[in-house]
Amino acid sequence: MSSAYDATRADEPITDAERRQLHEVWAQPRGWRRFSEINNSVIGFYYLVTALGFLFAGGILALLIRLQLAVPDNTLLSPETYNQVFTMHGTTMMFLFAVPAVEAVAVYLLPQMLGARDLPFPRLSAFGYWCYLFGGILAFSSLFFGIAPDGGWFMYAPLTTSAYSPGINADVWLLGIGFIEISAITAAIEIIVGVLRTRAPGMSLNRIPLFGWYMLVTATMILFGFPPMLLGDALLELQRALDLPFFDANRGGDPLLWQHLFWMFGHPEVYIIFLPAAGIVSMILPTFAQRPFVGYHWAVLGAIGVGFLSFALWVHHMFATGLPHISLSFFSAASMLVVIPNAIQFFCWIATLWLGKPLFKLPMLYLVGFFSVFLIGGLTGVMVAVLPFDWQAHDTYFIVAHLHYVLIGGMVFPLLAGIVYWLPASTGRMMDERLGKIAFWLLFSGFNLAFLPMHWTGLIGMPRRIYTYGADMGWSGLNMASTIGALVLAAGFALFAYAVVHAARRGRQAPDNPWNAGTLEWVEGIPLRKHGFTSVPIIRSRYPAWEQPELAAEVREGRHHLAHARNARRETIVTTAVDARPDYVLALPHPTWIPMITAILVTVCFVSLTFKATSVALVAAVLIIPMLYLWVWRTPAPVGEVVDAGRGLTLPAFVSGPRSVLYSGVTVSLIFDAIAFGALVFSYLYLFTVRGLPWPPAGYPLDDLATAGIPALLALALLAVGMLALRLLRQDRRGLTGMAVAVALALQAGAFAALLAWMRPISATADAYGATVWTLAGYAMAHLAVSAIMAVYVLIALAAGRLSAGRPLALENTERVNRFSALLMLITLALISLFPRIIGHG
Amino acid sequence: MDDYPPPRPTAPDRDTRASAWHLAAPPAVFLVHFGAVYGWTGLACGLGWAAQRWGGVTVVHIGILLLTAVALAVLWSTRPPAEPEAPSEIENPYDPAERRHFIATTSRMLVWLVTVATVMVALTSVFARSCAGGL
Repeated sequence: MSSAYDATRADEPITDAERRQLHEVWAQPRGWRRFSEINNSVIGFYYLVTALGFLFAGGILALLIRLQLAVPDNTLLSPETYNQVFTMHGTTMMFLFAVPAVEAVAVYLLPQMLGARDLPFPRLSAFGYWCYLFGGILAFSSLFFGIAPDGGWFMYAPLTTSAYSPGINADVWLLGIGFIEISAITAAIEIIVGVLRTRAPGMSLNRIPLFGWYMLVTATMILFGFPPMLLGDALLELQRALDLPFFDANRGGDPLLWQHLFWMFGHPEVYIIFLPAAGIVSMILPTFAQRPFVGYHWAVLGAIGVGFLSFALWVHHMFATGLPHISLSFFSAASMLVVIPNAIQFFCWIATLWLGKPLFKLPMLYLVGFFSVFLIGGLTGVMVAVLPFDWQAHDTYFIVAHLHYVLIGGMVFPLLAGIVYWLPASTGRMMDERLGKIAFWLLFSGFNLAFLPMHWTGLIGMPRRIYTYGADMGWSGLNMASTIGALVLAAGFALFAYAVVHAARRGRQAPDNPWNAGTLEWVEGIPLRKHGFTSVPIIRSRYPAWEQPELAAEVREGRHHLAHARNARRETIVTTAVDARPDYVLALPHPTWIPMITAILVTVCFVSLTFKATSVALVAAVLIIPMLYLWVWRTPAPVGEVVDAGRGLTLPAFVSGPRSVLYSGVTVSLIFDAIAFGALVFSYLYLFTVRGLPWPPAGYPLDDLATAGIPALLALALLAVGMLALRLLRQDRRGLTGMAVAVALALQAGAFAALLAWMRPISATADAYGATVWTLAGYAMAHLAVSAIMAVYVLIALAAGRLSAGRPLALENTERVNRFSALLMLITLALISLFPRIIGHG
Repeated sequence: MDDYPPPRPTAPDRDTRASAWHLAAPPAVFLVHFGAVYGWTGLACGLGWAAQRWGGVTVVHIGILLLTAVALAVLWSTRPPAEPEAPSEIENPYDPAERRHFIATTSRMLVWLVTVATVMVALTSVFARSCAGGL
């Protein structure tokens, strides 16, 4: 199905009835049903409010830490409570505030910046949000019951293994954070596919607003960065719950494996937080410099450069762990290299200001805070990239100062600038200039008073995470200064929050484009609408509000695309990834409870696992399956073959294969999955390099190739049958397709049983080798189970007549997951059976 | 209001593949090279190959230099040709000239950035002569 164009119908305005229907279709339900809304502009708002709530909660914990350290020999908190408080402060700020906050801004603003009615998977965003809310509340409330995590926000093994942390505190962290990370991943999928496929027609790659580019890089980083940590989480929890000794040096494991997996996530995480903030800066600066951004190409280069270089830095958090000097040297080099793309971005910002005519309005004040604070954090970052200095400063308050200058300077100040800047777009009202300025100066002075002295306390030897210190250490004055600064900083945040609420309720009415900004979100006037634009605009420049003066009126009059909701459906235009040519019209789901109910079931599952109520967790897990079936079943089916997209353009109502956004979503999910599997393979090979030959270690005989051959043959058969099923459906032979899918199901069951039989002689608890091999096989088996669940859905859909040669998408995606599972099996078998033979198992 | 030509039927597009490849290849080369150098060093130090020498240079360093040469060759083969700057006034919003210039320029700059990064990583590890420390 392809698009068609009728030039005679290219200039029809929207009628009043169409305008009314558009508003009704996109209106948020009232009463309790408002929480069934899934529109990203609503979910983004919920996300942001929740994230700011956690910022407030994490801030209170920070004040408790500072009050405890204000004077020497203080006993305000018990040592146990102090451990929980500093762990939860870091955890809350990193996992419950920083990442969700940047994702919140993205899902809230991206549809408006990109010119989409909504991003492509609103139910996924809603599911991610509810997981985040429930998981966040549960993880945080553990503090009130004395079962909060207490091993530091990076939860190093062996401290956090059950031998040294016997309570459930560490489990709360491992399961809670693993659960919350689901929301990060769902948002990443939404953002990647959204930025690539739901841009306004004409918004080719070179016209994407810079925030879109930065979010695309960030979401890709989430895709690559989060799997290692999720895997580390799973391995540590497996060790705690089932005694699989991945991190137990006495049984062939290695505690440093945890640090590798954690920091493979942890370092990119810093940039996952910083890059969106840099995107916000890059959106605000041109507005107040009154000129287009200088060096758009360079800024994109800088963002991509930071994105990939940040994955080569993880060991710089492990400089003091005794790694080979040769390894340290190239991680040190990479740590310094990351300065280049960061500096490029800084120079672009300076050049934009230099060549513009800067207006010093309130958002700019917060950007000045960003520039000065982040610059200091960046420079101390270069200092700690130098090995000898890092060995001195490691685990001292110098590092605490550095990371707060980076994170608060690099993320919080731009976020606050963004809130001030887009507040009129969200509420239609302006922030009070005087309140905003006072709040800024409290924040800026309080921040520097709190954290600047920490550089000195660190350099004179005060270690991180200590509960208290003696009066004779000489740290008292500096600590008191830091505590006073923290109180001033808290006052600044409180005043800022008041200024936002005040503006939303009683602020001065804002004009349509109060800052005279050039980007798309300001084009049709404020406050922003839930459906974005009256008609989806055609874009010819990076700053359409400046360079397409006729656009506002045309869009408002509905003279561009999709100025209607004719089938009483929510729809958006999907465009091609590179040139943003209209491709097809995507029907979007209406408000539904399915994401929230699924999130509740996932919550029950994780909480039950935390409290070792395995049977309850199992019931919840089983109940999730019909919810997922319902989710897919309720995906809006196209009405007719084509949709009138307005302006004379007719577009397909449905596509399959790589053109479909659902196909792209599954591709992104499989990449995530492949990275997680890659991290598991890394763990296996890492343990091998630590142990050396013989491999498998003593006590684990090498399997015979014939036994490994059975699951390998089944995997190959699965590949063949899966492809056959798809071919049959494309020929519209539905009966035979059903039979092929049924055979695939039988093969999946057979492969599962064969893997299990192959693994049975291997002990999972005697040695880390056995634990890793079991986990690899378990990973493949879990995928076989997922493939089987999807195959059952395909059979149901075939029986109901919902799959055909023209609508093969469900089978296409099932087949891809099936292929992926078979591939995982083959790699696992090769790794366990062939790898030892290749290296000469000794 | 200007009209614009109808969008092309969206068959798989050679431009799409080329754009994605040019932007993704340099970072991928860097990460694969970095991972390979790290993995090679881990193996060589872990399995004791680091002590073996060839022409006075250790096997570890020879491996790193070879990996770097391959990475640079692959990297520069991904470099797209330069594209002329598009005219400032465009009629057709789907005219690819501006986008082609953007992709070509950004990709070519990325190749330079990755070249600097790859060489710097390789050089520092060549100058560090020891497997001292743990793993």
